[in-house]
Amino acid sequence: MLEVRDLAVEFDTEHGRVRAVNNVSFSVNAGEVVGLVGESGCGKTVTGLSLLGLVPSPPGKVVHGEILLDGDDLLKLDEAGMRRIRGSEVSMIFQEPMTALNPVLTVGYQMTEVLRLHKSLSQQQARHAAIDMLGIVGIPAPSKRIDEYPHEMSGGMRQRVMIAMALSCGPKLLIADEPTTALDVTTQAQVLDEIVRLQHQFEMAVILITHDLGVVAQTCQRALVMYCGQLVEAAPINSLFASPLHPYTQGLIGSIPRIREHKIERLPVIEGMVPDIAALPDGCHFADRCNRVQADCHERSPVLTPSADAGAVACWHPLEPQHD
Amino acid sequence: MAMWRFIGTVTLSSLLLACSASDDAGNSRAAVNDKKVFRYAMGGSPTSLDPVQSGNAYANVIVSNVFDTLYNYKYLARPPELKPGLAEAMPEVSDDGLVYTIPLKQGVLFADDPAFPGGKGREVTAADFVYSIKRHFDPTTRPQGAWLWQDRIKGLDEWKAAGSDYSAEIAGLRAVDPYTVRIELTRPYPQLLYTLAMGFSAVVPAEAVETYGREFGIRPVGSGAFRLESFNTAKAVLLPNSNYRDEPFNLIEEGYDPATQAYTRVAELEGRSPPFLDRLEIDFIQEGSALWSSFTKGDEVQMASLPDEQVEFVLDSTRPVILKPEFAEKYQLATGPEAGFVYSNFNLDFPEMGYNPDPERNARNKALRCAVIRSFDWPARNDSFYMGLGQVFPGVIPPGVPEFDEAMPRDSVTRDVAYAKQLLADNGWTPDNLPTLTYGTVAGVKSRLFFEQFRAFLKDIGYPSEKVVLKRYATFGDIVRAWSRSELPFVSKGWGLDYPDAENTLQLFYGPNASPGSNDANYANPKYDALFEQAATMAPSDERTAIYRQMNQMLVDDCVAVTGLTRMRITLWHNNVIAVPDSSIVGGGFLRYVDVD
Amino acid sequence: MAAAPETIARVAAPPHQGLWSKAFHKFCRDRAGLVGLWVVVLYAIVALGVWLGLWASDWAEVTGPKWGPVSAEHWFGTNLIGQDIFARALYSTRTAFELGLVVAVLSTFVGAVLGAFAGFFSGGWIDELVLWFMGVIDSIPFYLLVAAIAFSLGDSPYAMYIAMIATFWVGTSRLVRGEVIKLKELEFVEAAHAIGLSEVAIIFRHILPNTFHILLVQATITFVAAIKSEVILSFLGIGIQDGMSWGLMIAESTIEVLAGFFNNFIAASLLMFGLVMAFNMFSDALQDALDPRSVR
Repeated sequence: MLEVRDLAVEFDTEHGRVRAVNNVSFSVNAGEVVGLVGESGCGKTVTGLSLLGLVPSPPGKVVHGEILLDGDDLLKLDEAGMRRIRGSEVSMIFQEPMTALNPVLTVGYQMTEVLRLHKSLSQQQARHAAIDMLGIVGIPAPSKRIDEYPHEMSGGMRQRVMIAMALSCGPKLLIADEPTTALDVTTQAQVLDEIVRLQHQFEMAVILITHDLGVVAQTCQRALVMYCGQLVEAAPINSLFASPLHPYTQGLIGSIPRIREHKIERLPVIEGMVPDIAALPDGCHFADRCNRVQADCHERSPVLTPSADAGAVACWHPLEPQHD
Repeated sequence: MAMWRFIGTVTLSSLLLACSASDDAGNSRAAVNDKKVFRYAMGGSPTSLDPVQSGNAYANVIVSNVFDTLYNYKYLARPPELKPGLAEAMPEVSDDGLVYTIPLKQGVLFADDPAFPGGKGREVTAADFVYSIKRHFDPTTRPQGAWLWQDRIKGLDEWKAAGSDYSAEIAGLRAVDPYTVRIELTRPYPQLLYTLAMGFSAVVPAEAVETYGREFGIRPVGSGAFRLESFNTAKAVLLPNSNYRDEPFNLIEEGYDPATQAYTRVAELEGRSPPFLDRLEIDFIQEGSALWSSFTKGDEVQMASLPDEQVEFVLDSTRPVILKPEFAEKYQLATGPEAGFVYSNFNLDFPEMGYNPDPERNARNKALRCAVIRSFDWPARNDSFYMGLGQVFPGVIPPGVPEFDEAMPRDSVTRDVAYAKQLLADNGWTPDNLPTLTYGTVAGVKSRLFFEQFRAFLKDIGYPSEKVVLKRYATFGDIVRAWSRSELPFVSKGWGLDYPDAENTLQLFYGPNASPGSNDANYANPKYDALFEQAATMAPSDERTAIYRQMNQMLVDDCVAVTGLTRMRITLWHNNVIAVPDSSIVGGGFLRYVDVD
Repeated sequence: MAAAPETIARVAAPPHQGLWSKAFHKFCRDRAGLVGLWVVVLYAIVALGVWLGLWASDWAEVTGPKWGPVSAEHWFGTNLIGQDIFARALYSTRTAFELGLVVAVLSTFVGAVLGAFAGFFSGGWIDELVLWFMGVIDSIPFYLLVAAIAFSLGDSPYAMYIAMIATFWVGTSRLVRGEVIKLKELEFVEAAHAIGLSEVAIIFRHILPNTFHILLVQATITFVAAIKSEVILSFLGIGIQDGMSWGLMIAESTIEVLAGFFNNFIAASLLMFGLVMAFNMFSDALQDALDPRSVR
């Protein structure tokens, strides 16, 4: 349904032009939940924003690539065409539910706004639709709470409002950018469950952008791992966790705390620092931190190569696939 | 065009002017210790001191002291009388009144100036006078006084039409010999002598005009009692002209009246030759309170007109005018009516209230104008703005001219609300069909109150206030332009007399003078015009006075103007000054006779 | 104020307040601010009464003698031509309100819109243009600008209004621009983009409502500034043309004070002082109540 080909996004900064997303290609099928994983600054959020044409410009710019939604290239649409897509075909929910809702407008105003924008509804109809939607995302007494201001609600409640807004026009694709990071742990689980439930109910695809592999494991069918603007590994959840191919993926998985394994006293971490994106080393960007590094890693950039188990990896010396 | 006097307003520029004027004071005081210095003040500054451009009343004061005219007004005679100035004697006039032969004094020198060979002033001759008048008919000098002689002197207009060649002779304006001027008129012009006492006719040397070109307006060179030392927008400094002719002061010849003038100590001047001062300074101070503070400082301005807003503060009583004791011990005072009057006239070009092609409406309009005139409360106007000191009179012949008629019926200046209302009702005027009356004025506090009072007068006769509308002009120049373009239906203004002859005010309603001329009422009455033309060639006589008064009555009967009031001028001066100031005619001729202890 | 049933519901429910009701409650605790507000309301009633013709309709009529003294009939005496000074001072209240309201509303509107656009597109050409424009207006002395506008409009009665609006929007605009630069980085703006709103809709529907507290305070400040400027402009003869104002009254008093008559000056100064003072107190309290640091 969604196919991204060779997407590259650059930013003009004080240190010159920086490529935040470098020739990324992937696809998402209808009804699929895909995790987009990586450390902060790896380009996952920019990738998500570029799907909606929301890369701040200036200083950002999509250099090349295609974003095909049901075969139509979104990058070829003008601003008005893009606005028709946003919120209706493709929606997005954000990390900070505290600030993602306008503090001086009521929940109802903000929800009906999106409904009336994309569907020809009267004020009254939009209000009913909004109340229904709030009910669907699990907000108690929606007909009363719809007239409240965001600051009158708890964080989880607000994120539900955001989700309700994002889903109100029945999008094909939902981009969720760190939707639970700002929430406390119990709420996190509830919201994630809600997203999964709604994903089934609305039969939409979801791209879950997160730095938390645990969240991915809990929610997604497939995961895409990004590092320094590049896709380094793509794989179905099961094989990714059972048998990561990229040393970076392995490091990420290793750093997930596992409460049941009492013997570990100190979490393993990936040695070294993420390189400055403005001055990336030649060859494999991960080479300096990699425990499997060899001489050729510094010379040639690895390309994403399909592997067994419907996955793909960009590494000259991937780990051996493990079979149970 | 004659001298317009404008009712002063408080403007930003006047404040600035006042400041700079007083800044200047310190320097001059220190520089002159034992000298006789006299500081005089005027309410405005001249724009040019070239006699051809001395239309401004303030310019005239300086021009008449730096330059000489053939005739002057006697210093002390009231009402004003002419006496010879540069001329040796009064003119010899032919029996038909067309040829004037004027002998000039011999040995009169221009002031020393680098424009003359060797820097020494040369003798003034008849040719200089001829040259000076010719300049008014040379468009390149931007003259303002040509109206005085236009169409009246033989060959002068033709000379202008032929290109103003100064070397060409003019039949009616000739220097017969170096000391004789002969003027030939196209028709009798009894006011000619008055024009020869005006600043416009002052005698200028061609050398200086040619040397200084446009700058002659700020570097005037003449044969007057003083020469100009410095001049800017804040003040002028004049020093005595060392070449000035020796003319001992003679009380009798100047028209001394001991009964009214003894207190001024002017008798002490007998036998001495003016000018008596070592230095004459004239400050230009527009703002009344700045003027007053300079005057009362003691070592600054020594003589000034009393600003209206100070009157209540300075005077013990206004009838008669008496100073409060604390001022009486320091200052001398003279009062006298101004040379002119204030009035308003309708512009009859506007069919709403003026002439209308429909005879019935024409008659109704006249009734409306008469009603407006009778609604006007002159005593209230006088009381509010002129401290009750002004002299209200009917018609347009003011008390300042000999033809003034004390006995003229005063109906037109007597308020009668009932009569005015009846007049409106009889002629079918109702609050609904009355036309809108646009009152034009220059921005300013007083002008605004003038308007508000007028509107209130009209309200009393049932004229709705919303139909009396204010139209404001930013500058005096703007409103003068509006008058001359006949853009305002109602004109409020003042008129300053050019000479003491009612002809000067009656011409304000003479048909051929219609806009853009001085007849901005656009009054058109063939009978009036015929009388005007008849009187214009007559010498002063009872017969001529009768014609003037007949014309005056026509204006009153036709309800052309709301008129009029002659303001009282109160002049104060410090005790150490010996002077008799004159406000009855424009000019500063008296300054050459001022002395200080 | 209007929604009484809601208030009852809120008492029953867990206490939660809107931004504005919070500010309102805070404002109500400010004594000086309340006094200021009531005085302003009183003036507004006076102005409304003049507008409806309930009083001071005889401000232009001659009803007494020249410089009449204070009396039961003429509370502040009469002026040079015998008009009632108290009636003129009251009538001037209407002039002040008309001027204050028109100038405050329009200059705040212009300032808000231009400031919001400049801030939203900061760094772009719109921003450059607006900033340049502000710089130009800031660099022209105010009174010179009024005189120039009056002159170019052929002495139109609106010259002063236009000049004030052209000048006063700048301050508001700078504040709004700064605030919008901060606001546009917040996620709700990105969220508004993400639902497909146009930039103009985002500026007007999502960003400007977040600057209302600034606009409200700025409007009150502009109101006072307009009234004070009118006095100076009218005094200089480039202000109010037809009608009456405190500035004209004070200008009128310049030809009277030397004669020892101060009634015009006192009446106009007192009434203007009262309104300006009250408005300043109101404005200060409003500013405190709406200060986002204490609200959020």
